Amino acid sequence: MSESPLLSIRDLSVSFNTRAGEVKAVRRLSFDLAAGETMAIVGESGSGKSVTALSIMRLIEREGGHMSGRMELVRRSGGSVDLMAADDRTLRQIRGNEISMIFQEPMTSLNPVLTIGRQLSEVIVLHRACSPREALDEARVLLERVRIPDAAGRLSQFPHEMSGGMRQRVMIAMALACQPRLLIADEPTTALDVTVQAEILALIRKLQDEIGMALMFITHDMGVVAEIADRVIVMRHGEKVEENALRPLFATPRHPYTRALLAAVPRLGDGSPATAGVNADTVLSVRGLVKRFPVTKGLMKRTVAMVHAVDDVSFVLREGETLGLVGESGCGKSTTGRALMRLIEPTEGSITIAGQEITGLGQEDLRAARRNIQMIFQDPYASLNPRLSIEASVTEPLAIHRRELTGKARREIAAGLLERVGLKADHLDRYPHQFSGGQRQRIAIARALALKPKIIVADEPVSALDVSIRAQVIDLLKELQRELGVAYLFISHDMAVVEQMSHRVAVMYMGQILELGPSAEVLNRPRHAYTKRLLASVPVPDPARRKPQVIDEAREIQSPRYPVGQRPTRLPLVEVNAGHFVQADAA
Amino acid sequence: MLEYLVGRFGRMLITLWVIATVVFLATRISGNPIDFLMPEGLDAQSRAAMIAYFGLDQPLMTQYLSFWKSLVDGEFGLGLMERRSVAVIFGERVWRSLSLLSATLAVTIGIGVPLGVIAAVWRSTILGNTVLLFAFIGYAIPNFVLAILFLLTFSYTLQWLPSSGSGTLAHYIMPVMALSAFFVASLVRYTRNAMLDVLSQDYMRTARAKGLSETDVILRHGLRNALIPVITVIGLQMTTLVSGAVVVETVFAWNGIGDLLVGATLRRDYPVLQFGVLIVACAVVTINLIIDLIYSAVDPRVRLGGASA
Repeated sequence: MSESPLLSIRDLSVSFNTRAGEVKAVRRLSFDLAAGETMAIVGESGSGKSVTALSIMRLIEREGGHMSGRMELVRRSGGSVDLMAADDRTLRQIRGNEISMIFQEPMTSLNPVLTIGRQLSEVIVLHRACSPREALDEARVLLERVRIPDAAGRLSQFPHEMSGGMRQRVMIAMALACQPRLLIADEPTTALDVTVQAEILALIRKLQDEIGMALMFITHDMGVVAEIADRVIVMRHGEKVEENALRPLFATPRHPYTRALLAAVPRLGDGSPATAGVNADTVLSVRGLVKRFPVTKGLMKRTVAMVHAVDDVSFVLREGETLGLVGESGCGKSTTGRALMRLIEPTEGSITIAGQEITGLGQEDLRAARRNIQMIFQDPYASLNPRLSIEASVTEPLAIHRRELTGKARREIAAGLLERVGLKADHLDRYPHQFSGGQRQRIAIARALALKPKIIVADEPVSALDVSIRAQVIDLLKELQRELGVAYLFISHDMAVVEQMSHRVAVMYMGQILELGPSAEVLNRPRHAYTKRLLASVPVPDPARRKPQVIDEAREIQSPRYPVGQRPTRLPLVEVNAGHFVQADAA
Repeated sequence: MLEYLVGRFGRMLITLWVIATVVFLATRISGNPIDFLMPEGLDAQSRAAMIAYFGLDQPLMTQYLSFWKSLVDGEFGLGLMERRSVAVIFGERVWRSLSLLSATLAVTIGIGVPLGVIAAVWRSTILGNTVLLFAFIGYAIPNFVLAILFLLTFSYTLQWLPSSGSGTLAHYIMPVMALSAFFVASLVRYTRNAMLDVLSQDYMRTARAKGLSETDVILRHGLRNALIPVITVIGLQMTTLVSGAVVVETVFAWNGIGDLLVGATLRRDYPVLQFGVLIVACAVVTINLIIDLIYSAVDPRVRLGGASA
């Protein structure tokens, strides 16, 4: 390359002083980024990719980082500056103007007490000579550019009045306000639903073409990398392990870690377990499950509307079978999972666990019935009590349900369980903070297994884990199923993971099951339009199959909220193929 | 919004009615004011006549009704000691108390919030730690001890400030300082904690990434968010402030409502006491309403009387 790169980083090292000593987050990282180029930095948590991004913005010192190295940026004026040595004033001129950044969490990255218009116009007034009035006008144009409908009306809205996808569009509009030369996007779609992710990725690519800026895209998702990058840097433990153009990286990864990372990515279409024996006993049967939440208003708490979170959901689960429950946030999948254990009291419907109807049970009987159904939650950091030892957490179900056991006997059971999930018996005396996320999820699995339940409700059990860890936990769950014959209700938004895990899949939308059937059937021959759209949105970790750019307007997420007395339309499920059911209008 | 205000007003009236009734009953259970009013050794006949004169021989229900009648009349009855309309007695003093409270509130917020922000932004520096140290001291010393220390230092030893009474600006200095010390101290600590919380929020990083200066980041983006919990705390502490004012008024002979109430309680001057407690209750309830309104103005996520899921 004859032209000098837009950003040239040499020997960037960042370290943090912690009580445990100095931690090197980034080690001697060097790379060049050309103008207009898209580079993905990919790695698992702790690989130093976000620290690198914040270092370029010189915002990492504020979080306690110590930096060294050189970061040469060619400025808009043509001159070049070493960001590492730049003074505060120069840095402020560059931030939000020549380099801008989008963050992972659209829900928390916007200031909750300032209007959208104010937050947008602020950056315009700051970097361009214009009046607040003109800036507000410009802000409206920016919102239109990121395809937010009713842009003028949005200016006076606050962040909490918008969905996550909408807020991320606002963040993008804000980052692009001054037509930056470099946009750093740190996991910008990780917190979003897959259909929204597809929209945002398409939008970023489109706007990049329009403005001609360079893009540094940080992600852990190889599927997203394949969708967006020209060149890829793979990071691990703060070091660059591989750098290559997109296609060769996917085709012939050189470093073993890159190979491992690519191998661990669940790919939609990799096939799923064959339908389990149809003759197996039914362990869970749900009929006409309904959960409505009232929306109240005013001092008298009048009920003004009902949210039909779960509306007429029916399914069965057989011994040793996994039923995947997929859908986007707010579709009612978690509410369904919780209602099964009566953690949330169902409004209507019947739930039969191992032949016992549990909806009418009193406290004592319900507790006994819960022996058969246990739960694993998404966030292994939040679902283990930080002040209880692992022994106390894992033996707690035994202490409640099997009082006849001595403390010693319980400890022995717990030790066996830990070994079963791939941990060591002497981990019993440790505390949750001493374990990694993956290990904690194993502990949570051990706890769920303590009572030898027939059913485990797993609510997004691997969503918070890195890909390589995710694959291990999925293998563990499948292995346990083969051995113990436990049935899973596997709740997830990740289609590829659901495909790997499930014998059958149910697709939920707005509180209803739209499509239900054997995984291979539903995922390969979807019948319902929504299932098709959901599947089409999943990023494919294959650069050759990049999706065409279709830029949609942002949509408000539909909510299953209806006036009191009014009910959503319920369409009957029609069998279109052996065991494959679809809502009537799509059949 | 209108529905909210009407409802809120209705609840205010119920609260005041309950308080008035409790005070009415409590004062009558605790003893007879005639014993304080009249010289000792008063003969039974004149004592009975005095009781009848003040209407204290009436059944409790009749007294209760006439108490409410006097409230509705706007006359509020006559003070037992001074034999003047309670309204007039209070009218002379209420502004003095209000001015003391307002001055204290202004000083508390004006000093407490900035110091709290300083303590948060410059945490673990000498500046931040010094602010925090003084906050601890202010928090730990009771206001009447502080009041007496001030009196000894500034009036008795140095003779800079008047020791009692009200009227000039100089009269305000010591009472306001004594009264506000505790509240400034606690506000510094609350503001510091709220600000520390805000400083680590994602939107602060966003603001810096825009290229805003650190001052703008903290004042424009941070402070308003930090104020949300602080406003709640100010509201909760208003009641403590009012009871603190009673003590401080007495120490500095401020001639306000606090002073009056202490006297009325000791002498069982029912009409004055009842009315005084009602006024204080009114003030507290009103302040809480104002706090709620401010709260909804600062935090757009709070919509008063709006729909909630």
